[in-house]
Amino acid sequence: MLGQIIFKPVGGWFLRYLRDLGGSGIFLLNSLYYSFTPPYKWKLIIRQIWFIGYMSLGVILMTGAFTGMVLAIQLFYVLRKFGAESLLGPGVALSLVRELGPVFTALMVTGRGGSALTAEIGIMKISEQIDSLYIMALNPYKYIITPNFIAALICFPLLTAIFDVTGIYGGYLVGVKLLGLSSGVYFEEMKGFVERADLLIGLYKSLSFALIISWVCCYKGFFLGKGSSGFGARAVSKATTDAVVMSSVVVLIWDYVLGSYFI
Amino acid sequence: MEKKPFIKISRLRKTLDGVEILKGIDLAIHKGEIMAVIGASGAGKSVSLKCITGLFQPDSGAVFIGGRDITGMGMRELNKVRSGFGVLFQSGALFDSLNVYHNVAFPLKEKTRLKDSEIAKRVTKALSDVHLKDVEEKYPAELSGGMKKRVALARAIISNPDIIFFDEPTTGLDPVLKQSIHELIIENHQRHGFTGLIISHEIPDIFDVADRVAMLCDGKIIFCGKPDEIVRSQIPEVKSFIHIRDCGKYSWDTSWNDSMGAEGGIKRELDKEG
Ligand SMILES: Nc1ncnc2c1ncn2[C@@H]1O[C@H](COP(=O)(O)OP(=O)(O)O)[C@@H](O)[C@H]1O
Ligand SMILES: [Mg+2]
Repeated sequence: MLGQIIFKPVGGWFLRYLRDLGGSGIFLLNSLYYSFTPPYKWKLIIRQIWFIGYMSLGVILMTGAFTGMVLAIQLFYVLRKFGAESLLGPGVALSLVRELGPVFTALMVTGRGGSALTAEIGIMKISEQIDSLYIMALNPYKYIITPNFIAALICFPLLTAIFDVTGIYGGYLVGVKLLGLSSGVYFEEMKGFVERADLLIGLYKSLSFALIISWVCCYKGFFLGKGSSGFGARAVSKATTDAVVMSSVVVLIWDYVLGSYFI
Repeated sequence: MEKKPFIKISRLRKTLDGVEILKGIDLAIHKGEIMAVIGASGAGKSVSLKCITGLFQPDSGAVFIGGRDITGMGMRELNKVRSGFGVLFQSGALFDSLNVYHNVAFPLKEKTRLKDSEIAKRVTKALSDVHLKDVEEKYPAELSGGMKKRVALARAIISNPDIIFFDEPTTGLDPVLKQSIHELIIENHQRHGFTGLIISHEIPDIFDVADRVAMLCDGKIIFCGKPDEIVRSQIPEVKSFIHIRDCGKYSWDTSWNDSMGAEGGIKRELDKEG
């Protein structure tokens, strides 16, 4: 009786969870394997670079600028208490390069591109387009998964760099033009404090976020309807929401893990 | 002596979401033959097609193609078998990010080393064969259901595959087009001699296309034989399914005249499908 009510659904859920976990692991390995073995579908890769990278530029510029500006105001407020306003430049730069640049870029691209990716792949799944690739003895990974992985790995570091630079200039606008710091202090101090290691951490983060997001968003579309709410438009919308929520959460958790490792 | 079948399906079973859809299917198709599969909507025709093409892994049973069991085959081997396939899905399954031209050209572009000019020639020919004009630049979302079907048909046969599976090639088409698609299939068959499996509701027209007809009912093949045999079949399910149509020259003997009431339900279901 109790078994029927509690253990069966919980056990079933747990088994499904394990299968999902295993399935997504295999999916990641497949995707990576096919990403780094020829032939490459250059046309599709370029299309995805355009979609993930170029189309995100606007939102990255906007959020980058305002993040830098807010950061400068907040840091200025704190630093003034210690009489250390001259450290505003390094403060803004380090926060952006090590932390906010990669994370915000990842979250923005998830919201803009990741959701669209899941929806597109999910619709290809339910309309049997993926099946027809299989039937033509073609590898669906090559056509719809690996172009996204490759494009994300190329675009994320670049977008992150753009975010960082715009953020630093946003901080410059607030710190120098608005709050009256000298521009020499803002930039010169930065050179002394920001090290190669900081830039590398930012790079590692953005590369790993690229993997996480393309993994989660492609997987959710590719295995649409497996154990969730069936097929159809409902399943696509659920997969899309799941993909965005899951990518964002995993990105933040992974950011903490990496951050505490590199401290 | 009995010829060895080219496609042989034996005791195929498949359960989906806890419902047993296929309950042991046996079917043999010889090389160069066209087999039609008929059966009520929801009988499991499309599911069996997916099992035969390896898209669904059956729970038990075997599918032999050219003498080799494809169930449990690795991807690489399965792809070798599949490179001889042409499949028309019930939904068409066109790539919606590609226009009609690139959809039809896709199998040639990706699987052959033909020159672009040669591909263009073949695509134009294939599209005119299915009576489509001035649609090359259109995207699938801009086409009607019947047009999508015909584009998908052109894509399925453009590379002259050895085995072609058609899932309801004429559903949603008007009678004239239906006729010409059937003629196209026959003509193509005479020219290239492919082995075909057609799922169809076009009774009796499909009897002119197919060499043999099998009927799927309740997860099993309950009849398999020549068109003129099926119209004389005494199996009640076959009789009621066939004889609600006017079978023209495939008329049946007059011993059939009872139980008109039972067919109403099936006919309604068929109409819904259309
Ligand atoms: N992917 C699937 N998952 C679960 N059930 C399915 C799936 N595809 C088909 N079915 C079920 O299998 C049965 C047969 O479907 P199908 O083969 O498409 O019928 P038809 O003979 O009209 O082609 C239907 O009851 C359908 O609900
Ligand atoms: Mg069907």
